[in-house]
Amino acid sequence: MTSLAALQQAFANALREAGDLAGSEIAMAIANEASALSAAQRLGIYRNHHRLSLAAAIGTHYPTIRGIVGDEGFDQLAADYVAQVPPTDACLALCGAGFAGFLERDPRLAGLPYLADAACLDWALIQAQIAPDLPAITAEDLASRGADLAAARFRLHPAATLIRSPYPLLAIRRLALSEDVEAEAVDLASGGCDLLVLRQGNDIVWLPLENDAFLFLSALADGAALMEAASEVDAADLPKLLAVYLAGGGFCRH
Amino acid sequence: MTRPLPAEHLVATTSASRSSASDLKTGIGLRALHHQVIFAQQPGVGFLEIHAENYMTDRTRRTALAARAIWPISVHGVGLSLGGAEPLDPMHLDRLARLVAELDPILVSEHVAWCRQGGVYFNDLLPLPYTEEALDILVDHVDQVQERLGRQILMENPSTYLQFVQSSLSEGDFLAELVRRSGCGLLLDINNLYVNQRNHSIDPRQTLAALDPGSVQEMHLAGHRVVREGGTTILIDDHGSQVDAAVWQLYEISLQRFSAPTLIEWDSQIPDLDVLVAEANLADGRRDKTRAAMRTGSSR
Repeated sequence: MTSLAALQQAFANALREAGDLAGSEIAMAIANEASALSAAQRLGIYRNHHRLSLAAAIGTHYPTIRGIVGDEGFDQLAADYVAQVPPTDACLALCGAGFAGFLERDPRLAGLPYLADAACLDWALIQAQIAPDLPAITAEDLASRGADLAAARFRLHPAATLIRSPYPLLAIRRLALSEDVEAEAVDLASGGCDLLVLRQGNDIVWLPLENDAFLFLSALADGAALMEAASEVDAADLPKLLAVYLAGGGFCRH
Repeated sequence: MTRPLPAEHLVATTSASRSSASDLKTGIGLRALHHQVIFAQQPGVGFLEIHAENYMTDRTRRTALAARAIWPISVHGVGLSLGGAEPLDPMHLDRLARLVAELDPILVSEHVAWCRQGGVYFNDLLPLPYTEEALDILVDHVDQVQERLGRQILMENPSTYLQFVQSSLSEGDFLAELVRRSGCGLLLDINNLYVNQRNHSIDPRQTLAALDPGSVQEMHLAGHRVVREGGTTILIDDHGSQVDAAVWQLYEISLQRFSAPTLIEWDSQIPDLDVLVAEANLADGRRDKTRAAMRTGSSR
């Protein structure tokens, strides 16, 4: 191997691929040393670290999924995901956004239909941490709009996520993160949940939503004017929805 | 932070000026796990090291700025891939420059390693062949970073599990030449020297002797794991335990040649904050003892 670029390409291939390291192109470039370790064993240390460290990084983002499928199962899923969607940002905290979609498409997980939604909640909590600061709509902003408020449009704050699931995600997450081996199982038929996950100051919070509140906020997030979105709710509830949700840190200027 | 600082912080902060940085007490890493307890307890360590890539979001940067108000900060990058053959990631360099501008850290460091290929990151510090070509690329990348940041950076010697047949320079000569050509300083990782000694029979004394005493501006101490594989032993640089006795010995030997602030690294199986602080205190004790012995020796 004559150049650094070619050597690093061959090394990267050996890390990513599952094949026999002894026969890999890069193995030829590894020096024999007095110790009995072969080139394949030495490369194996790097391959193993690559696999486990990325699985660990994804695992810190998706504790519910790790809790449900167990460490071994999770490491396999994370390795498969990283093989499909390798990290392209030096900040690993920003990687892993597509894991829920990956889980949803994986036929091995057909028996765990709630897994993708649980991953959406995990990622929403990460998104709330890593999203950039942007000024959020406040009660004063709304008051200052006067007659223009009805036609005003807003967008979801980058730190906020709306989630609708037919599964009890909060109970699932609580159980998955619990170290209590005798914790009671979650009844999957006990009802779904609608949530707004957001950042308030430095705190990450989730707000359970009534159906009408979810529809109202979803319409706003989809770009509807306030007046159009308000058609989803009882007019008497509107002041509370505006104060608690629209001005609660979850939305910003359109 | 309105809480008054303990006296030892005032000493540490005052001595954080570049001229007397070597008198700084030993530092520890700032870890998410300790964010609450460290601000509550405000231990009297010399400085805090942050991994640059963990403090690049608005929320984590606020934490780093809050720490900056209490302790001197060292920014330790792990993601620039300075030894990579491909060009540096300009977006990532911009983020690092912004962080460094905001924190005005006492030290900025990166690694003699690569971690990115084809635009994909490997979350590891991968080994370089010690060749003239690799040295040229590394020097060029270090130049770019120093120019962008407007300051000198320190480069850390790596721990490795393999060596390349192409290597034509020794570890010590490669590091010394990197310093000479780029004007960077060195972050001498004592544990890495020891790991390489055990894994490759590289004599750490030869590496130390190759380095200009003034070039080493920080030292790292960390734990490693001993793994027996087949009939042989390999040391894994996992930063997951206390500093090994042999590494303490090598630290004392290094202190006879270099005078620089020291940091305890602990990145996996991170213990309670008290354990980290106790380890930093041990390093201070070793340094004081070694310096006292050197004074006694030189006055005889």
